[in-house]
Amino acid sequence: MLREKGAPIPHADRLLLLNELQPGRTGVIVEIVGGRGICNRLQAMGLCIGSRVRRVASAIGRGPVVVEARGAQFAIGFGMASRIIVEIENGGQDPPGRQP
Amino acid sequence: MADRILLVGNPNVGKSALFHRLTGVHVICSNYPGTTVEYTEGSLNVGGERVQVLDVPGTYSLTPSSKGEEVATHMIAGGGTIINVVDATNIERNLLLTLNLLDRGLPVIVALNMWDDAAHRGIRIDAAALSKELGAPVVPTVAVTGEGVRELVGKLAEAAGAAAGRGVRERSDGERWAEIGRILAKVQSLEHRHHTFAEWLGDLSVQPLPAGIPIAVVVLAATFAVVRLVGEGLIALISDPFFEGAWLPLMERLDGAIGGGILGDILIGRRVDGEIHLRESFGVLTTGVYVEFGMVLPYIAAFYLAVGALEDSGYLPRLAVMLDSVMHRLGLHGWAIIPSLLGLGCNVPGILATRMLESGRERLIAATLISTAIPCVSLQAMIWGLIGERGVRCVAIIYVSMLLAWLVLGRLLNLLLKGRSPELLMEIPPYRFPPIRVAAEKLAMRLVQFVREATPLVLGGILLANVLMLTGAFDLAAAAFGPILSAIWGLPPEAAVPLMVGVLRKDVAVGMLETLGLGDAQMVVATVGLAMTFPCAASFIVMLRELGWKGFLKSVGIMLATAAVAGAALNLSLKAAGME
Ligand SMILES: Nc1nc2c(ncn2[C@@H]2O[C@H](COP(=O)(O)OP(=O)(O)O)[C@@H](O)[C@H]2O)c(=O)[nH]1
Repeated sequence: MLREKGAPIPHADRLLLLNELQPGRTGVIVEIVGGRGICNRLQAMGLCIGSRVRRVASAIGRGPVVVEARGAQFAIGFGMASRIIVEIENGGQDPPGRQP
Repeated sequence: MADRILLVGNPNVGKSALFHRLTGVHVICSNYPGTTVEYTEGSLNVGGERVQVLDVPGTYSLTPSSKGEEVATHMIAGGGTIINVVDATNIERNLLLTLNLLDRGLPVIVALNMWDDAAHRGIRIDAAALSKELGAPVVPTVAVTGEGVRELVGKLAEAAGAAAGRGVRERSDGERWAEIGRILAKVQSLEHRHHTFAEWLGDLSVQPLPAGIPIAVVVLAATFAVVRLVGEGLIALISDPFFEGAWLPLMERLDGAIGGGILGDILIGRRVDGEIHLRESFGVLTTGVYVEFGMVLPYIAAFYLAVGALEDSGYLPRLAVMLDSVMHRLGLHGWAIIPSLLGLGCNVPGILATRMLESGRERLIAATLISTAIPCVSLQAMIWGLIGERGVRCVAIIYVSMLLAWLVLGRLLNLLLKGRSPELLMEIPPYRFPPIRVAAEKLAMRLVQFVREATPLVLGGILLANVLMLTGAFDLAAAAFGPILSAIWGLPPEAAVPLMVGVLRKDVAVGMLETLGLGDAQMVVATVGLAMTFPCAASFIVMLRELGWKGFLKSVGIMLATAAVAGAALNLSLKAAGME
């Protein structure tokens, strides 16, 4: 949706799944992998491509991911969070959670 | 003036509170999304004309994704002036729905609610500028106190004219979000301030470790303790002195005046050791009145006091986050803890609240679990009051059995029913502490509702039980179902009768069981069986309505099978453990 098929992914090293984002870090949603239903539900709550989200709390196991976006907090099921790709913002103190 | 007014907004923005202010009709408001799952209707006097007011279920968008949202979209399509209730503490997210409504050319007036809370948080919004940007009237309101409501009503008529001025617009939600960013930059200013205590607590309690799970355990244990202590306290300090000091002597005099006979049997009941006994005489005016007002009502008050505080504070969605993983194993997601918790008060609102769950599968599982394995507070009051006298052990066995049944049945349903449980996606509201007056009103309303709904059933149940006893219909029932009960649950045949009365009211049924002179083990098995089999008539009706015939029959079949198996297993294990 954002790029041509097969084109190299820009900033691939800064891309994470939402559930991999560490608490306290902020990212921008770049892609939502899923059907229209999920996209619509997320979009209506203000979680759409381009939205900045901050991870509020960590989870145990496959527990829900709690994030803050547009001034409100949301709990997103683990499975759904793992279909949301975010690009972490520059300026974070610690390195991205996923090593190459 | 349009012939009707619709209150439209995101979940949890104060629509119900505003609805109450506008119409005087009491509705229950709670601090979690999804309070209004069914629309409520009332009316308002505008310039001498009565106008219908509808409280529409909360919705994030005009493309429906849950049952509540479907109802909302359908109602909006039906026309009328729209009061768009917006949470001033979070207008960014709320304005998407506003722009959606405006773009359709609908007559909209915006109520900028939670104005007090916004000021508290250092959020300043220029209402006049916002009105200009949107091209619709905007009025700041505080729904819980009524501030701004008069002005809102005064400006209703401006909505239609403003809509004509704006016309209809086609654009995508993406474009709307961009527009919202532009508007906010002009009308909203945030004062820089430190994290408040509520925010700090909010973050702490959604983080499972180190704090979230311990907090959840403490909150649940404290809730249970408050219900027990307050319930017991009310009984010891108010209800028992009243019933023993004033009501019993009155009944003695009344009995003297009636002079026995059938009327005496029905109203006063039989004497126990020559005296009228409030629990065991089983007359409409003795046991009937005492069970409802003396034993159950104090616990109802205690329960709704505690749960009301939980609801208003905004803790429940956080509890849902903590329990999400557990609930997933039962085929539900964390949110289903809210209907389940309400079901502990009364199964009816619990089953109604299953509407906030997205899929039919989840609603079936949740409603079946509630009606089978969650004892309502009326039943629990009797368990504590009557069975508690036999020792804590009996009460503990009952609770553990119900909890096990809940977990095992949920697990089984999740494995057996086709489909998967959907993912949690919900907004977590900030902690709020509503004025005591608002909480007290809500409690009073629930008590009145309980008394109104339960009184005819309790009194009618005892009346019916007496009539059946006098006509010998009970012996027939005992003869018909008794052998089955003896075979699988090890109960005497007479126990069939209270189990049948349980269809009307469970509390009355426990009272009847207690008059049969059962042993501890039998009493425990009978109570668990009673709790699991047919829920009372009222929950039956809502189950049928919520699940439809097919789902209802499925659910009842599962319930009966579970009760039979659980009762038999409990009977065998108690016998094996040597309990009499
Ligand atoms: N401080 C404050 N709280 C409010 C206001 N309006 C509603 N509330 C509270 O916000 C919560 C949600 O309100 P409710 O009417 O149930 O929202 P609904 O889901 O939109 O119907 C409740 O706990 C209310 O007591 C307001 O203007 N100010």
